[in-house]
Amino acid sequence: MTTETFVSYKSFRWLWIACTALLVSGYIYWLDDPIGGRNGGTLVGYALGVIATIAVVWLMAYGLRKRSYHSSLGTVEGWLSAHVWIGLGVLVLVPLHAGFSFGINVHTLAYGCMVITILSGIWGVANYATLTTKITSHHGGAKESAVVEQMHAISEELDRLCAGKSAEFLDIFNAYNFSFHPSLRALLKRNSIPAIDSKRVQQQMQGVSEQESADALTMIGLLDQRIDLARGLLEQARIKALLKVWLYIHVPCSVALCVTLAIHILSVFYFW
Amino acid sequence: MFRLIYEKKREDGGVERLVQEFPHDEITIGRGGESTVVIPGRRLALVHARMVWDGQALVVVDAGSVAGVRAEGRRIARENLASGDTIVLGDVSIRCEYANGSVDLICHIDEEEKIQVRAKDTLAGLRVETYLPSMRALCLVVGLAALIGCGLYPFLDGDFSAWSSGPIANPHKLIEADCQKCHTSPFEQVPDSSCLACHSMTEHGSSSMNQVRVGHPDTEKRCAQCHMDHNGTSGLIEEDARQCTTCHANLKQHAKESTFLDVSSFAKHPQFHIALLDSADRTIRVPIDSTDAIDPGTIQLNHAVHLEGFIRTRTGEKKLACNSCHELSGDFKTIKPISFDNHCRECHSLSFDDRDPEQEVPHGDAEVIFPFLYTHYTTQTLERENKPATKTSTMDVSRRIPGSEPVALSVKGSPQELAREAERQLFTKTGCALCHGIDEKPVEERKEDNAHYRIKPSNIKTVWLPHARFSHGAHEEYTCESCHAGVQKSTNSGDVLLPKVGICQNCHADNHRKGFVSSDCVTCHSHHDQQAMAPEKKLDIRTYIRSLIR
Repeated sequence: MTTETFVSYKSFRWLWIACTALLVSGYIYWLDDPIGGRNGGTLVGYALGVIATIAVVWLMAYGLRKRSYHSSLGTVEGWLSAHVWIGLGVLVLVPLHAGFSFGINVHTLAYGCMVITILSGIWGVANYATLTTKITSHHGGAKESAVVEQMHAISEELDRLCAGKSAEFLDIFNAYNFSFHPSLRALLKRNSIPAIDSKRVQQQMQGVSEQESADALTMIGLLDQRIDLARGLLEQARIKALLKVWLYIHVPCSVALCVTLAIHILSVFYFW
Repeated sequence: MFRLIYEKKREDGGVERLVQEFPHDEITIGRGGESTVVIPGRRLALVHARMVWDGQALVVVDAGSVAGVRAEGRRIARENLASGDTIVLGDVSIRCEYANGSVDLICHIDEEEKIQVRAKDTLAGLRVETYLPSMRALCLVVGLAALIGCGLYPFLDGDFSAWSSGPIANPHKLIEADCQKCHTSPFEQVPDSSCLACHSMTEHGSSSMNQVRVGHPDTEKRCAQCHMDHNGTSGLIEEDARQCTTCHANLKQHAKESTFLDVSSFAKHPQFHIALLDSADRTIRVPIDSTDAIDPGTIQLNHAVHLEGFIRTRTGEKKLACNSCHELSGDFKTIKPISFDNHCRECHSLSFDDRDPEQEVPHGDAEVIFPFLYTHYTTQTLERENKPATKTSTMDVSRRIPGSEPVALSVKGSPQELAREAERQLFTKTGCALCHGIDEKPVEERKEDNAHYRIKPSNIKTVWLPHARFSHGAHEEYTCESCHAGVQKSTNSGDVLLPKVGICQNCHADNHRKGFVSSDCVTCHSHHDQQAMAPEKKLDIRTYIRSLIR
């Protein structure tokens, strides 16, 4: 039995509502054949424009609803489900409003902002659907800060182990040591910290003196542990970044959409 | 039994001891609530290690933690601990002391400040927010940029092209940059006065539009409701037939007194009605296929004779075609009027004197013919008096029409008499009478020096369907007979040889029917009666263009 998510909320209730609304709108659009062709200035064009505007206001209101913890106006999950499916519906509703006429103007810019907002939203939904289950499955529930501290503790221990050691010993250390300084690029792509190559290490161990061999084995164990921790950290950070970075497109574009939509409505009636 | 003694350094430097007892022989130690002994170490796993006390020996087992369990610097998986041994679980160190059947776990958390500081920096690097501007700032900047760029800048710059809802019609490109030319007031629809400022030649706002409104009492439309701009670069005339058929498909519902027939589409267009004058000189509309549809022209013309074979002309025999007489005008739309000099004279001579067959009376004004004839015969008389007499008098020479046997003149006499006789011949038997309808003037109107005959008005119709447009040039690829059927056999001047609506319906249809030329009402009809623009209303192009430059 699959778990219900905000996408499948109440057996896809909002998907059905959005599809029904779109089918009705599409049927009305298909029936309407105004003199001069279909465009935003016909009766059906105005009606679909009003519906699309109300939908956009509703979609924006989700941002307020999810912060209103004491609100009893539906559940946040329900609002999010409506936000997703109605948002996808508006992507089609607006071209019906405009009679599929686009140009280089503020009207199409508003739609462009809407498209970017919705596409980034789709990216966000896809990220939530595929990544949220992975976020808790690393390090057996260890805190991220604890893992980082452990990494630094290992680093200090490695430094202590390497003190006064031979060149052969340090060669092994240098081969698998890495500087852990994450960047935005490193966060957004899969990590590339190489694992320890056991065959190579065995060869390198032959050059290490007997006195240092015990420390060398300890060092290799610590290095392996450090690589494992770093990989886990980066993967965790990548997942968290992907769950957030889409919002840096989605939210500003939705603000731009609101502004350009208001200018679109103003301009249409200013030059009526 | 285990007893946890948790030593915590106070801010004042003292040590605070918290003691907790666990009546078990086996415990788990960790950060999570599921552990028996919960210690708030940052690097502790939720369940970090397990300890077993059998009353004699104490065993510690690593429960699979990240930080591991260390004793004397070594990482251990399972180890027997002696009393007084210290194990390190991440940042928590535990000294184990046992005696008398119970184990004391004296624990304290290592602050490890150096590692914490380094870890704090690393943790920041793992958060995407570190590399991106704050969401609020980003929203503010994007929102303001959109507001200023799209909303305010047009008002500052005066260029509202970004607000245009679509491409402006090509005829309006000249005023594209000046929105106020049409949109005179914000939030008001384009008034008719904006259109009439330039387009007054068609009198949209006065007589023509009023006529439309008289005929269409429900019409309260503004110009811009039919002529919608910003819908593409093509023209502003909406071709959709429904603009007319909305009412004209069932006209009686909208105008009970109307005598117009219903038209729902070109396929159901009624027969063409030609405009004729009734006996009281009122224009009447007669269906082209009715018996009342008779050409009112008075010129006697037999199309069949002209087209059936070779015609004898001054320069030889010729086969005539339609365009021998009916020539296409310079604009390739209409047919030039028939001209006697260009189309008839080559065959139809207006000569009157066989002795001088090259001499012809002028065509066009019956009143000048008698003076012309009188001058001619007077000149001949004067020339004869100045020459020796000959056996045969010119007065005896009979006049003939080209190709016919000579006809004897009935009189001999003075130039006046000869001119009158020639006039009578021309107006009753030969030249003029061949084609024109002739009236003999009543006696009281006759004078010694004026014409005694009058030519009836020819009444050649140049426009049969005054409310329709047609371009012959657009149909140049087709033979005239394709549409003007029956011309080859027409012997009566009264025959109306215009094509009937069925001919057009073979090729033309509205509503974009497949296989037909798309033709809506405005393809042939105009909503407004075009009028020439009064000179005083015309604009000076240089002044006008200067007015557009801000």
